[in-house]
Amino acid sequence: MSSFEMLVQVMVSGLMVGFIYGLAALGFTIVYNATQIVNFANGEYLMIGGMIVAVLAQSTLDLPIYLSVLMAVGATGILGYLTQTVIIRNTKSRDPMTLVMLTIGLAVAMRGLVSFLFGRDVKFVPDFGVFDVILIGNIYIPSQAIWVFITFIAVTLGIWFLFNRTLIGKAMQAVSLDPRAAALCGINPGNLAAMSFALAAGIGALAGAVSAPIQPVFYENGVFLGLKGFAAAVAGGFGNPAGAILGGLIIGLVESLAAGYGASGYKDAIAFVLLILILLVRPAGLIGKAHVSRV
Amino acid sequence: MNTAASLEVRDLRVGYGSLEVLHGLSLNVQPGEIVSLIGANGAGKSTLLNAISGVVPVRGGHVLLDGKDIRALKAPDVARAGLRQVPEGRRVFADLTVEDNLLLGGYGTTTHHQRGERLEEIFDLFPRLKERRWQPGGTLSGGEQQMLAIGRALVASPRLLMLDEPSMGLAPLVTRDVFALIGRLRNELGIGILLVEQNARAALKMSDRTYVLTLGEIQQHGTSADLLRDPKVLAAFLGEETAPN
Repeated sequence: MSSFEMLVQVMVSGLMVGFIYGLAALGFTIVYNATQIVNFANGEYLMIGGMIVAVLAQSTLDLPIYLSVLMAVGATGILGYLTQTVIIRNTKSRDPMTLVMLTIGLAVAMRGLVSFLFGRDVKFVPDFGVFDVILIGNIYIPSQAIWVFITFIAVTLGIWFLFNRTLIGKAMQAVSLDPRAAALCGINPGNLAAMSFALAAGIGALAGAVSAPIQPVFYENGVFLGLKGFAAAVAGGFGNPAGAILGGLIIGLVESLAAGYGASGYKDAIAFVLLILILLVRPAGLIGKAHVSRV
Repeated sequence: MNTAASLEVRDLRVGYGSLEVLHGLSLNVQPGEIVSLIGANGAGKSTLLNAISGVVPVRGGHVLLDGKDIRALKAPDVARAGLRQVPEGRRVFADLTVEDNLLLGGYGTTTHHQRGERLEEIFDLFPRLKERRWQPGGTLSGGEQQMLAIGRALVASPRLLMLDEPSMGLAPLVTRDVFALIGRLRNELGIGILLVEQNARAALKMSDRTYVLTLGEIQQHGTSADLLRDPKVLAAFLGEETAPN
């Protein structure tokens, strides 16, 4: 294997991880934009999505994989919806800081519940199949990476369409820009907040499900997935969907480069040092919100 | 649904914490009428509009839209019932385009087709907004933003319109345009308009009736023509010496 092939191989794995981080970051961004809450339970949605697919794969039901993924996304989406409507909405405090703390507690509770229901062992999920492994020279692209790539593209296009081409997506932006003006337009911020949680949870579950064959499922996976997603969202410019995706890709690539060139023990540290460097140079993130206004 | 409605406020009491801001306030606005509400800073003008709109909770009294009590409704539902407020400071969605700002005014109450039609009508009314259709709302001048905020409220074909300080921060010439527009809206749509203004003289000149709000109570009420000749009003709001007897 030439050193060039080695570099490409490392970048392929980095991108694959980056796609997942990008999707995790997107969940943070969507919820933050609609509610001003940083939902630290977001990583758990990825874990739960993967867990549901893993449990179904190990069961005797013998479901086709697309059905398992659909069930994981649906169930986790409902869980996200309930996070907002049952817990966040009924909390007396409206202070975002308090609600952020609440989401940390929720993450711990979800982790505990999953380990209680499905056990503390690592679960493996077979590849989704259909595609063959791609081999270009000595560069190896696993078939599951193609699924991850397709999911990433589909979600990115879907989110772009939602925010730029539908009134409901614009209403979500309006709520984040000025909740009172949005309410005076007849937009109910509570409904959109619940929808944003459901959407973030669904996207998280999808990311968790397609990455399950690459990253074995474990009840504590939500911790690092949440942190990486959060870091990616911050690096890209919190609240900016394109930034979240870009941040995810960069963190995935840097991690993979670190691991590929001998510092695998430090890959997480290197990713976070990179985050600090980005914030030192660009405090608003890579694609910081440019505020244009005239008064 | 989209016919003009009357608004009646009865014995409205509103407060924040232990502080009561409005102490049993009553007023009404009939279809086709421009009613202005004037008063010093802190008299409770904006609080009144926000209480009617459901933004601020009400402690007592009634808010009737065409006889139906809407006091318990939250802000989005008041807006959907056809009672629209154009808020103080305009509050356009700065990062969204002019067109998106307008379309959002019809959120939840109009079909895609209706919004398209209303948009064209509003562009006829405000040609400037059509020129700036794809610009972010935040890049418009103050007067244009005021037009945009009014246009946004009009997309849903409101049954009654409440305007909070539409002249705030605008140059005198622009203010004149905005007031001319408000008069036109009354004539063309036949809806009632409740106008809150700091600029008491302009408000008195363009409205049919006026309420004078002082420290959370209606101190005076009458036709605007009468109040314009009232020595007390002249002294308090128009900065003129009381005419010697």
